[in-house]
Amino acid sequence: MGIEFYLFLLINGLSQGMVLFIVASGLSLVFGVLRVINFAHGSLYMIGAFLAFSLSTLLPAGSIFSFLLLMLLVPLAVALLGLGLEIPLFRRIYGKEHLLQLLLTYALLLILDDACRLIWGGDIRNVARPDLLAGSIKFFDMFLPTYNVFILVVGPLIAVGLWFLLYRTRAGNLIRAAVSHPEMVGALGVNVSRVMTATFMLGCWLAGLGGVLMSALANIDLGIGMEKIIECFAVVVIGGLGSIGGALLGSLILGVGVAFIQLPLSRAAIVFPYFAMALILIIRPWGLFGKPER
Amino acid sequence: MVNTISTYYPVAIEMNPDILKIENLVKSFNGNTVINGISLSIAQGELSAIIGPNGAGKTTTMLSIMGLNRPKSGTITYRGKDITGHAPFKIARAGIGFVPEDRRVFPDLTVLGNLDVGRRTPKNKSKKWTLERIYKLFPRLQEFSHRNAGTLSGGEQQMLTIAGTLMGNPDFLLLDEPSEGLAPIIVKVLGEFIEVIKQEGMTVLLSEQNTKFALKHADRAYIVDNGSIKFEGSIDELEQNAEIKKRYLAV
Repeated sequence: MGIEFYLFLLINGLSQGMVLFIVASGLSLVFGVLRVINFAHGSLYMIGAFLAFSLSTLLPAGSIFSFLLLMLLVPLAVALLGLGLEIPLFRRIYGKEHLLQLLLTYALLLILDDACRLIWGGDIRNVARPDLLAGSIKFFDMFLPTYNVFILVVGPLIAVGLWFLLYRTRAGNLIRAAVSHPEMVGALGVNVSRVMTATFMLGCWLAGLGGVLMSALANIDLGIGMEKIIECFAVVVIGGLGSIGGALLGSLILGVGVAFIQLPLSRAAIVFPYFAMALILIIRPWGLFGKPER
Repeated sequence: MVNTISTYYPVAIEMNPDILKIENLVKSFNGNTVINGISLSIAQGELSAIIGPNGAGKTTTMLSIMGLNRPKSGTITYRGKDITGHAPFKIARAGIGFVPEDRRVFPDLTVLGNLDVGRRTPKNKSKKWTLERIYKLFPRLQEFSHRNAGTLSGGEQQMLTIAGTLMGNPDFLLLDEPSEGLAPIIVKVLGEFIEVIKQEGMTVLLSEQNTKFALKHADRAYIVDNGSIKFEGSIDELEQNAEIKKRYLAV
Protein backbone atom coordinates (compact mmCIF):
# COMPACT_ATOMS: atom_id res chain seq x y z
CA MET A 1 0.00 0.00 0.00
CA GLY A 2 1.70 3.13 -1.25
CA ILE A 3 0.99 6.79 -0.90
CA GLU A 4 -1.67 6.43 -3.59
CA PHE A 5 -3.79 4.37 -1.26
CA TYR A 6 -3.56 6.86 1.55
CA LEU A 7 -4.36 9.71 -0.80
CA PHE A 8 -7.39 7.77 -1.94
CA LEU A 9 -8.45 7.33 1.67
CA LEU A 10 -7.95 11.02 2.26
CA ILE A 11 -10.03 12.02 -0.76
CA ASN A 12 -12.73 9.61 0.29
CA GLY A 13 -12.74 10.88 3.85
CA LEU A 14 -12.75 14.50 2.75
CA SER A 15 -15.66 13.99 0.36
CA GLN A 16 -17.68 12.17 3.03
CA GLY A 17 -16.76 15.05 5.33
CA MET A 18 -17.93 17.65 2.81
CA VAL A 19 -21.36 16.05 2.47
CA LEU A 20 -21.51 15.85 6.24
CA PHE A 21 -20.58 19.53 6.43
CA ILE A 22 -23.36 20.54 4.06
CA VAL A 23 -25.93 18.68 6.17
CA ALA A 24 -24.49 19.65 9.56
CA SER A 25 -24.18 23.33 8.65
CA GLY A 26 -27.96 23.32 8.13
CA LEU A 27 -28.53 21.79 11.56
CA SER A 28 -26.12 24.24 13.14
CA LEU A 29 -27.64 27.26 11.39
CA VAL A 30 -31.14 26.30 12.49
CA PHE A 31 -29.96 25.85 16.04
CA GLY A 32 -27.93 29.08 16.01
CA VAL A 33 -30.85 31.24 14.93
CA LEU A 34 -33.95 29.40 16.11
CA ARG A 35 -32.48 27.68 19.18
CA VAL A 36 -34.15 24.43 18.19
CA ILE A 37 -32.22 21.21 17.76
CA ASN A 38 -34.01 19.60 14.86
CA PHE A 39 -33.81 15.83 15.31
CA ALA A 40 -35.67 15.43 12.02
CA HIS A 41 -32.82 17.11 10.11
CA GLY A 42 -31.31 13.74 9.16
CA SER A 43 -34.70 12.60 7.87
CA LEU A 44 -34.87 15.67 5.61
CA TYR A 45 -31.44 14.71 4.28
CA MET A 46 -32.69 11.17 3.64
CA ILE A 47 -35.78 12.50 1.88
CA GLY A 48 -33.43 14.56 -0.31
CA ALA A 49 -31.46 11.43 -1.20
CA PHE A 50 -34.58 9.39 -2.03
CA LEU A 51 -36.14 12.24 -3.97
CA ALA A 52 -32.94 12.42 -6.01
CA PHE A 53 -33.24 8.70 -6.68
CA SER A 54 -36.88 8.92 -7.78
CA LEU A 55 -36.33 11.98 -9.91
CA SER A 56 -33.22 10.47 -11.53
CA THR A 57 -35.30 7.56 -12.87
CA LEU A 58 -37.39 10.10 -14.79
CA LEU A 59 -34.44 11.96 -16.29
CA PRO A 60 -32.06 10.87 -19.06
CA ALA A 61 -29.38 8.72 -17.45
CA GLY A 62 -25.73 9.69 -17.62
CA SER A 63 -26.31 13.32 -18.49
CA ILE A 64 -24.57 15.91 -16.38
CA PHE A 65 -27.56 18.17 -16.91
CA SER A 66 -29.84 15.61 -15.30
CA PHE A 67 -27.61 15.59 -12.26
CA LEU A 68 -27.39 19.37 -12.11
CA LEU A 69 -31.18 19.46 -12.37
CA LEU A 70 -31.35 17.12 -9.36
CA MET A 71 -29.03 19.44 -7.46
CA LEU A 72 -31.29 22.34 -8.35
CA LEU A 73 -34.73 20.81 -7.76
CA VAL A 74 -34.31 18.41 -4.86
CA PRO A 75 -32.92 20.90 -2.31
CA LEU A 76 -35.70 23.31 -3.31
CA ALA A 77 -38.28 20.58 -2.75
CA VAL A 78 -36.83 19.80 0.68
CA ALA A 79 -36.82 23.52 1.51
CA LEU A 80 -40.50 23.70 0.55
CA LEU A 81 -41.18 20.71 2.76
CA GLY A 82 -39.38 22.69 5.47
CA LEU A 83 -41.75 25.59 4.85
CA GLY A 84 -44.65 23.19 5.30
CA LEU A 85 -43.21 22.07 8.62
CA GLU A 86 -42.12 25.46 9.93
CA ILE A 87 -45.36 27.38 9.66
CA PRO A 88 -47.69 24.92 11.42
CA LEU A 89 -45.17 23.23 13.77
CA PHE A 90 -41.71 24.68 14.39
CA ARG A 91 -42.93 28.26 14.71
CA ARG A 92 -44.87 27.22 17.81
CA ILE A 93 -41.89 25.84 19.69
CA TYR A 94 -39.32 28.64 19.36
CA GLY A 95 -38.33 29.74 22.83
CA LYS A 96 -40.26 26.90 24.48
CA GLU A 97 -38.70 24.40 26.86
CA HIS A 98 -36.26 21.88 25.39
CA LEU A 99 -38.41 18.86 26.24
CA LEU A 100 -41.23 20.17 24.07
CA GLN A 101 -38.84 20.84 21.20
CA LEU A 102 -37.33 17.40 21.54
CA LEU A 103 -40.75 15.75 21.56
CA LEU A 104 -41.84 17.56 18.41
CA THR A 105 -38.69 17.10 16.37
CA TYR A 106 -38.24 13.48 17.45
CA ALA A 107 -41.86 12.73 16.58
CA LEU A 108 -41.23 14.29 13.19
CA LEU A 109 -38.16 12.09 12.74
CA LEU A 110 -40.29 8.99 13.32
CA ILE A 111 -43.06 10.21 11.04
CA LEU A 112 -40.76 11.24 8.20
CA ASP A 113 -38.71 8.05 8.44
CA ASP A 114 -41.84 5.92 8.26
CA ALA A 115 -43.12 8.03 5.38
CA CYS A 116 -39.88 7.17 3.55
CA ARG A 117 -40.44 3.49 4.31
CA LEU A 118 -43.96 3.71 2.87
CA ILE A 119 -42.88 5.59 -0.24
CA TRP A 120 -39.51 4.06 -1.09
CA GLY A 121 -39.45 0.77 0.83
CA GLY A 122 -36.43 -0.89 2.37
CA ASP A 123 -34.37 -1.48 -0.78
CA ILE A 124 -30.87 -0.17 -1.11
CA ARG A 125 -30.70 2.46 -3.84
CA ASN A 126 -28.32 4.84 -5.46
CA VAL A 127 -28.19 7.42 -8.20
CA ALA A 128 -25.90 6.65 -11.13
CA ARG A 129 -23.14 9.21 -11.50
CA PRO A 130 -23.35 11.23 -14.68
CA ASP A 131 -20.81 10.16 -17.31
CA LEU A 132 -18.81 13.33 -16.87
CA LEU A 133 -18.31 12.63 -13.15
CA ALA A 134 -18.15 8.83 -13.31
CA GLY A 135 -14.52 8.32 -14.22
CA SER A 136 -11.21 9.26 -12.67
CA ILE A 137 -9.01 12.29 -12.83
CA LYS A 138 -5.27 11.89 -13.21
CA PHE A 139 -3.50 13.67 -10.41
CA PHE A 140 0.27 13.48 -10.99
CA ASP A 141 0.51 9.74 -11.55
CA MET A 142 -2.51 8.78 -9.47
CA PHE A 143 -6.14 8.38 -10.46
CA LEU A 144 -8.78 10.01 -8.26
CA PRO A 145 -12.52 9.36 -8.61
CA THR A 146 -13.97 12.40 -10.40
CA TYR A 147 -17.16 12.44 -8.36
CA ASN A 148 -15.26 12.71 -5.09
CA VAL A 149 -13.24 15.57 -6.54
CA PHE A 150 -16.51 17.17 -7.65
CA ILE A 151 -17.79 17.02 -4.06
CA LEU A 152 -14.52 18.53 -2.88
CA VAL A 153 -15.30 21.48 -5.15
CA VAL A 154 -18.99 21.78 -4.23
CA GLY A 155 -18.39 21.61 -0.44
CA PRO A 156 -16.06 24.62 -0.24
CA LEU A 157 -18.32 26.52 -2.67
CA ILE A 158 -21.22 25.98 -0.27
CA ALA A 159 -19.03 27.03 2.66
CA VAL A 160 -18.01 30.24 0.88
CA GLY A 161 -21.59 30.84 -0.26
CA LEU A 162 -22.88 30.47 3.30
CA TRP A 163 -20.16 32.75 4.61
CA PHE A 164 -20.99 35.33 1.96
CA LEU A 165 -24.70 35.12 2.70
CA LEU A 166 -24.25 35.40 6.47
CA TYR A 167 -21.48 38.01 6.57
CA ARG A 168 -21.83 40.05 3.41
CA THR A 169 -25.54 40.51 2.78
CA ARG A 170 -28.37 42.27 4.57
CA ALA A 171 -30.24 38.96 4.87
CA GLY A 172 -27.20 37.59 6.72
CA ASN A 173 -27.10 40.62 9.00
CA LEU A 174 -30.78 40.08 9.82
CA ILE A 175 -30.21 36.38 10.50
CA ARG A 176 -27.24 37.05 12.78
CA ALA A 177 -29.00 39.94 14.51
CA ALA A 178 -31.96 37.67 15.21
CA VAL A 179 -29.57 35.34 17.06
CA SER A 180 -28.96 37.88 19.82
CA HIS A 181 -32.06 40.10 19.96
CA PRO A 182 -34.98 38.91 17.80
CA GLU A 183 -37.44 41.29 19.46
CA MET A 184 -35.17 44.26 18.67
CA VAL A 185 -34.92 43.20 15.02
CA GLY A 186 -38.72 43.27 15.00
CA ALA A 187 -38.80 46.71 16.61
CA LEU A 188 -36.59 47.92 13.75
CA GLY A 189 -39.34 47.04 11.28
CA VAL A 190 -38.23 43.59 10.19
CA ASN A 191 -40.72 40.74 10.03
CA VAL A 192 -38.72 38.37 12.23
CA SER A 193 -41.05 35.41 11.66
CA ARG A 194 -40.16 35.61 8.01
CA VAL A 195 -36.44 35.70 8.78
CA MET A 196 -36.87 32.60 10.92
CA THR A 197 -38.91 30.76 8.30
CA ALA A 198 -36.28 31.59 5.68
CA THR A 199 -33.49 30.39 7.96
CA PHE A 200 -35.30 27.12 8.61
CA MET A 201 -35.84 26.66 4.88
CA LEU A 202 -32.16 27.32 4.23
CA GLY A 203 -31.29 24.64 6.79
CA CYS A 204 -33.62 22.20 4.99
CA TRP A 205 -32.17 23.21 1.61
CA LEU A 206 -28.72 22.24 2.89
CA ALA A 207 -30.04 18.88 4.15
CA GLY A 208 -31.58 18.27 0.73
CA LEU A 209 -28.39 19.19 -1.12
CA GLY A 210 -26.41 16.83 1.11
CA GLY A 211 -28.92 14.10 0.26
CA VAL A 212 -28.51 14.59 -3.50
CA LEU A 213 -24.73 14.54 -3.29
CA MET A 214 -24.76 11.44 -1.11
CA SER A 215 -27.17 9.58 -3.39
CA ALA A 216 -24.41 9.29 -6.00
CA LEU A 217 -21.53 8.93 -3.56
CA ALA A 218 -22.72 5.84 -1.69
CA ASN A 219 -25.71 3.55 -1.35
CA ILE A 220 -28.77 4.95 0.33
CA ASP A 221 -31.30 3.12 2.45
CA LEU A 222 -33.70 3.82 5.31
CA GLY A 223 -30.86 3.98 7.84
CA ILE A 224 -28.98 6.94 6.39
CA GLY A 225 -31.13 9.61 8.07
CA MET A 226 -30.49 8.32 11.57
CA GLU A 227 -26.84 7.70 10.75
CA LYS A 228 -26.39 11.25 9.46
CA ILE A 229 -28.18 12.99 12.33
CA ILE A 230 -25.89 11.23 14.81
CA GLU A 231 -22.84 12.27 12.78
CA CYS A 232 -24.24 15.80 12.61
CA PHE A 233 -24.56 15.92 16.39
CA ALA A 234 -20.97 14.78 16.70
CA VAL A 235 -19.94 17.49 14.23
CA VAL A 236 -21.71 20.30 16.03
CA VAL A 237 -20.42 19.13 19.39
CA ILE A 238 -16.89 19.07 18.02
CA GLY A 239 -17.14 22.29 16.04
CA GLY A 240 -19.49 24.22 18.32
CA LEU A 241 -23.26 24.53 17.87
CA GLY A 242 -24.22 27.47 15.72
CA SER A 243 -20.79 27.93 14.15
CA ILE A 244 -20.52 27.31 10.41
CA GLY A 245 -16.71 27.29 10.50
CA GLY A 246 -16.93 24.79 13.34
CA ALA A 247 -19.26 22.60 11.29
CA LEU A 248 -16.71 22.59 8.46
CA LEU A 249 -13.79 21.66 10.67
CA GLY A 250 -15.81 19.11 12.66
CA SER A 251 -17.07 17.45 9.46
CA LEU A 252 -13.61 17.16 7.95
CA ILE A 253 -12.15 15.76 11.18
CA LEU A 254 -14.94 13.22 11.31
CA GLY A 255 -14.88 12.30 7.63
CA VAL A 256 -11.11 11.86 7.44
CA GLY A 257 -10.93 10.28 10.89
CA VAL A 258 -13.48 7.59 10.07
CA ALA A 259 -11.85 6.91 6.68
CA PHE A 260 -8.44 6.27 8.24
CA ILE A 261 -9.58 4.46 11.34
CA GLN A 262 -11.68 2.11 9.24
CA LEU A 263 -8.41 0.67 7.99
CA PRO A 264 -7.21 -0.99 11.20
CA LEU A 265 -10.58 -1.19 12.96
CA SER A 266 -13.01 -1.85 10.08
CA ARG A 267 -16.58 -1.81 11.48
CA ALA A 268 -15.39 -0.65 14.89
CA ALA A 269 -14.54 2.71 13.29
CA ILE A 270 -18.16 3.57 13.96
CA VAL A 271 -17.13 4.48 17.50
CA PHE A 272 -14.87 7.27 16.25
CA PRO A 273 -17.53 10.01 16.15
CA TYR A 274 -18.61 9.21 19.71
CA PHE A 275 -15.03 9.05 20.88
CA ALA A 276 -14.18 12.40 19.28
CA MET A 277 -17.36 13.91 20.69
CA ALA A 278 -16.61 12.66 24.21
CA LEU A 279 -13.06 13.93 24.00
CA ILE A 280 -14.20 17.42 22.99
CA LEU A 281 -16.88 17.45 25.70
CA ILE A 282 -14.17 16.77 28.25
CA ILE A 283 -11.58 19.28 27.10
CA ARG A 284 -13.68 22.00 25.47
CA PRO A 285 -17.40 21.47 26.11
CA TRP A 286 -18.49 24.38 23.91
CA GLY A 287 -16.71 22.99 20.85
CA LEU A 288 -13.69 24.12 18.87
CA PHE A 289 -15.34 27.21 17.36
CA GLY A 290 -18.22 27.66 19.77
CA LYS A 291 -18.56 30.10 22.63
CA PRO A 292 -19.17 29.13 26.26
CA GLU A 293 -22.80 29.63 27.25
CA ARG A 294 -23.36 32.83 29.17
CA MET B 1 -54.00 64.02 41.35
CA VAL B 2 -53.83 64.72 37.66
CA ASN B 3 -53.08 68.22 36.57
CA THR B 4 -55.20 69.13 33.62
CA ILE B 5 -54.04 72.68 33.03
CA SER B 6 -53.12 71.72 29.50
CA THR B 7 -56.75 71.33 28.56
CA TYR B 8 -57.25 75.06 29.10
CA TYR B 9 -54.62 75.86 26.53
CA PRO B 10 -55.56 73.81 23.51
CA VAL B 11 -53.92 76.20 21.04
CA ALA B 12 -50.71 74.27 20.59
CA ILE B 13 -52.62 71.05 20.18
CA GLU B 14 -54.81 72.50 17.48
CA MET B 15 -51.79 73.65 15.53
CA ASN B 16 -49.98 70.37 15.97
CA PRO B 17 -52.34 67.41 15.90
CA ASP B 18 -51.66 64.56 18.26
CA ILE B 19 -49.85 61.79 16.53
CA LEU B 20 -49.90 59.37 19.43
CA LYS B 21 -52.73 58.93 21.86
CA ILE B 22 -52.79 56.49 24.74
CA GLU B 23 -56.06 55.97 26.56
CA ASN B 24 -56.37 54.25 29.90
CA LEU B 25 -53.50 51.85 29.44
CA VAL B 26 -53.41 49.06 32.03
CA LYS B 27 -50.71 46.42 32.21
CA SER B 28 -50.01 43.85 34.87
CA PHE B 29 -47.40 41.16 35.30
CA ASN B 30 -48.37 38.09 37.33
CA GLY B 31 -51.24 39.94 38.99
CA ASN B 32 -49.17 43.01 39.90
CA THR B 33 -50.43 46.11 38.18
CA VAL B 34 -47.48 47.97 36.68
CA ILE B 35 -49.45 50.58 34.76
CA ASN B 36 -52.79 51.64 36.10
CA GLY B 37 -54.68 53.74 33.60
CA ILE B 38 -52.06 55.88 31.86
CA SER B 39 -53.33 58.30 29.20
CA LEU B 40 -51.11 60.53 27.09
CA SER B 41 -51.37 62.64 23.97
CA ILE B 42 -48.26 63.48 22.03
CA ALA B 43 -48.39 66.35 19.59
CA GLN B 44 -46.51 66.31 16.33
CA GLY B 45 -43.07 67.87 16.59
CA GLU B 46 -43.04 67.96 20.38
CA LEU B 47 -40.62 66.38 22.77
CA SER B 48 -42.50 64.93 25.71
CA ALA B 49 -40.75 63.46 28.69
CA ILE B 50 -42.05 60.76 31.00
CA ILE B 51 -40.29 61.34 34.26
CA GLY B 52 -40.39 59.01 37.20
CA PRO B 53 -38.42 56.66 39.41
CA ASN B 54 -37.46 53.09 38.61
CA GLY B 55 -40.51 50.84 38.42
CA ALA B 56 -42.91 53.72 37.82
CA GLY B 57 -44.07 52.19 34.54
CA LYS B 58 -42.05 54.23 32.02
CA THR B 59 -40.45 51.32 30.20
CA THR B 60 -43.65 49.27 30.30
CA THR B 61 -45.49 52.14 28.61
CA MET B 62 -42.84 52.32 25.89
CA LEU B 63 -42.90 48.57 25.33
CA SER B 64 -46.69 48.70 25.02
CA ILE B 65 -46.50 51.45 22.40
CA MET B 66 -43.99 49.38 20.44
CA GLY B 67 -46.07 46.22 20.64
CA LEU B 68 -43.40 44.46 22.69
CA ASN B 69 -45.87 43.68 25.44
CA ARG B 70 -49.61 43.28 25.37
CA PRO B 71 -51.57 45.65 27.60
CA LYS B 72 -54.43 44.27 29.68
CA SER B 73 -56.69 47.07 28.57
CA GLY B 74 -56.57 50.49 26.99
CA THR B 75 -55.90 51.68 23.47
CA ILE B 76 -52.92 53.15 21.70
CA THR B 77 -53.66 55.18 18.59
CA TYR B 78 -50.99 56.34 16.17
CA ARG B 79 -51.98 58.87 13.51
CA GLY B 80 -55.62 57.95 14.08
CA LYS B 81 -55.07 54.22 13.71
CA ASP B 82 -55.43 51.75 16.57
CA ILE B 83 -52.09 49.98 16.93
CA THR B 84 -52.75 48.30 20.29
CA GLY B 85 -51.16 44.87 20.35
CA HIS B 86 -49.94 45.02 16.75
CA ALA B 87 -46.71 43.23 15.83
CA PRO B 88 -43.63 45.36 16.60
CA PHE B 89 -42.45 45.27 12.98
CA LYS B 90 -45.76 46.69 11.81
CA ILE B 91 -45.61 49.45 14.40
CA ALA B 92 -42.05 50.24 13.30
CA ARG B 93 -43.18 50.34 9.68
CA ALA B 94 -45.93 52.77 10.66
CA GLY B 95 -43.12 55.17 11.55
CA ILE B 96 -42.32 54.63 15.24
CA GLY B 97 -38.68 54.13 16.17
CA PHE B 98 -37.71 52.59 19.51
CA VAL B 99 -34.43 52.97 21.39
CA PRO B 100 -34.56 50.54 24.32
CA GLU B 101 -32.98 51.32 27.66
CA ASP B 102 -30.43 48.55 27.69
CA ARG B 103 -28.53 49.47 24.51
CA ARG B 104 -29.58 46.51 22.50
CA VAL B 105 -26.89 46.47 19.86
CA PHE B 106 -26.23 43.25 17.96
CA PRO B 107 -22.86 42.42 19.53
CA ASP B 108 -21.59 40.00 16.88
CA LEU B 109 -22.36 42.33 14.00
CA THR B 110 -20.10 45.18 12.98
CA VAL B 111 -21.21 48.75 13.55
CA LEU B 112 -22.02 48.92 9.86
CA GLY B 113 -23.96 45.64 10.13
CA ASN B 114 -26.00 47.05 13.01
CA LEU B 115 -26.87 50.11 10.93
CA ASP B 116 -27.74 47.85 8.01
CA VAL B 117 -30.28 45.94 10.11
CA GLY B 118 -32.08 49.19 10.92
CA ARG B 119 -31.98 50.52 7.35
CA ARG B 120 -35.42 51.06 5.90
CA THR B 121 -36.95 53.56 3.51
CA PRO B 122 -40.56 54.21 4.41
CA LYS B 123 -43.02 54.17 1.54
CA ASN B 124 -43.66 57.49 -0.20
CA LYS B 125 -41.19 59.32 1.99
CA SER B 126 -37.90 60.93 1.39
CA LYS B 127 -35.00 59.15 2.99
CA LYS B 128 -33.85 61.64 5.56
CA TRP B 129 -31.33 59.55 7.40
CA THR B 130 -28.51 58.18 5.32
CA LEU B 131 -25.29 56.56 6.42
CA GLU B 132 -23.44 59.78 5.57
CA ARG B 133 -25.66 61.84 7.85
CA ILE B 134 -25.44 59.30 10.66
CA TYR B 135 -21.65 59.31 10.40
CA LYS B 136 -21.59 63.10 10.40
CA LEU B 137 -23.66 63.16 13.56
CA PHE B 138 -21.74 60.32 15.26
CA PRO B 139 -18.18 60.40 13.89
CA ARG B 140 -17.13 57.61 16.26
CA LEU B 141 -19.40 55.19 14.47
CA GLN B 142 -17.64 55.85 11.18
CA GLU B 143 -14.27 55.39 12.83
CA PHE B 144 -15.38 52.03 14.25
CA SER B 145 -17.63 51.00 11.36
CA HIS B 146 -15.90 47.64 10.89
CA ARG B 147 -15.55 46.78 14.56
CA ASN B 148 -17.95 44.40 16.26
CA ALA B 149 -20.58 46.35 18.15
CA GLY B 150 -19.93 44.25 21.25
CA THR B 151 -16.48 45.82 21.60
CA LEU B 152 -17.81 49.39 21.83
CA SER B 153 -18.08 51.35 25.08
CA GLY B 154 -21.47 51.85 26.71
CA GLY B 155 -21.79 55.38 25.31
CA GLU B 156 -20.84 54.28 21.82
CA GLN B 157 -23.33 51.41 22.01
CA GLN B 158 -26.03 53.88 23.03
CA MET B 159 -25.22 56.09 20.04
CA LEU B 160 -25.23 53.02 17.79
CA THR B 161 -28.65 51.93 19.07
CA ILE B 162 -30.01 55.39 18.35
CA ALA B 163 -28.30 55.51 14.95
CA GLY B 164 -29.66 52.08 14.02
CA THR B 165 -33.19 53.20 14.84
CA LEU B 166 -32.73 56.43 12.85
CA MET B 167 -31.70 54.35 9.83
CA GLY B 168 -35.33 53.23 9.71
CA ASN B 169 -36.34 56.89 9.14
CA PRO B 170 -38.99 57.00 11.87
CA ASP B 171 -41.11 60.10 12.37
CA PHE B 172 -41.76 59.41 16.02
CA LEU B 173 -38.95 58.32 18.30
CA LEU B 174 -39.23 56.55 21.66
CA LEU B 175 -36.09 57.05 23.75
CA ASP B 176 -36.14 54.89 26.86
CA GLU B 177 -33.80 56.25 29.51
CA PRO B 178 -31.07 57.14 27.04
CA SER B 179 -28.85 58.90 29.58
CA GLU B 180 -28.84 56.05 32.07
CA GLY B 181 -25.35 54.97 33.07
CA LEU B 182 -23.59 57.29 30.64
CA ALA B 183 -20.63 59.50 31.49
CA PRO B 184 -21.52 63.22 31.75
CA ILE B 185 -19.65 64.03 28.55
CA ILE B 186 -21.63 61.43 26.62
CA VAL B 187 -24.87 62.74 28.14
CA LYS B 188 -23.90 66.12 26.72
CA VAL B 189 -23.41 64.61 23.24
CA LEU B 190 -26.77 62.90 23.62
CA GLY B 191 -28.37 66.25 24.51
CA GLU B 192 -26.87 67.86 21.42
CA PHE B 193 -28.21 65.01 19.32
CA ILE B 194 -31.68 65.44 20.81
CA GLU B 195 -31.61 69.15 19.94
CA VAL B 196 -30.64 68.29 16.34
CA ILE B 197 -33.52 65.90 15.80
CA LYS B 198 -35.94 68.30 17.54
CA GLN B 199 -34.97 71.01 15.09
CA GLU B 200 -35.72 68.62 12.27
CA GLY B 201 -39.26 68.31 13.56
CA MET B 202 -38.97 64.80 14.98
CA THR B 203 -41.62 63.93 17.56
CA VAL B 204 -40.00 62.36 20.60
CA LEU B 205 -41.17 60.59 23.71
CA LEU B 206 -38.32 60.50 26.19
CA SER B 207 -38.40 58.50 29.39
CA GLU B 208 -35.98 59.57 32.08
CA GLN B 209 -35.03 59.24 35.70
CA ASN B 210 -32.56 62.04 35.08
CA THR B 211 -34.96 64.92 35.69
CA LYS B 212 -32.46 67.65 34.89
CA PHE B 213 -31.68 66.12 31.50
CA ALA B 214 -35.34 65.56 30.70
CA LEU B 215 -36.46 69.08 31.66
CA LYS B 216 -33.62 70.65 29.69
CA HIS B 217 -34.82 69.17 26.41
CA ALA B 218 -38.55 68.53 26.83
CA ASP B 219 -41.49 70.69 25.75
CA ARG B 220 -43.93 68.78 27.93
CA ALA B 221 -43.61 66.56 30.93
CA TYR B 222 -45.56 63.66 32.34
CA ILE B 223 -44.64 62.66 35.84
CA VAL B 224 -45.43 59.05 36.58
CA ASP B 225 -45.26 57.15 39.82
CA ASN B 226 -46.68 53.78 40.78
CA GLY B 227 -48.13 53.22 37.35
CA SER B 228 -50.16 56.38 36.97
CA ILE B 229 -49.65 59.95 35.85
CA LYS B 230 -49.30 62.45 38.67
CA PHE B 231 -48.77 65.52 36.56
CA GLU B 232 -48.93 66.54 32.95
CA GLY B 233 -48.22 69.89 31.42
CA SER B 234 -45.67 72.10 29.78
CA ILE B 235 -42.27 72.61 31.32
CA ASP B 236 -43.25 76.13 32.39
CA GLU B 237 -46.30 74.79 34.17
CA LEU B 238 -44.16 72.25 35.90
CA GLU B 239 -41.67 74.92 36.97
CA GLN B 240 -44.52 76.85 38.59
CA ASN B 241 -45.96 73.87 40.43
CA ALA B 242 -44.04 73.90 43.67
CA GLU B 243 -45.90 71.00 45.21
CA ILE B 244 -45.26 68.60 42.35
CA LYS B 245 -41.66 69.69 42.14
CA LYS B 246 -41.17 69.09 45.83
CA ARG B 247 -42.96 65.79 45.84
CA TYR B 248 -41.66 64.11 42.70
CA LEU B 249 -38.63 65.97 41.47
CA ALA B 250 -36.88 66.27 44.83
CA VAL B 251 -36.32 70.00 44.28
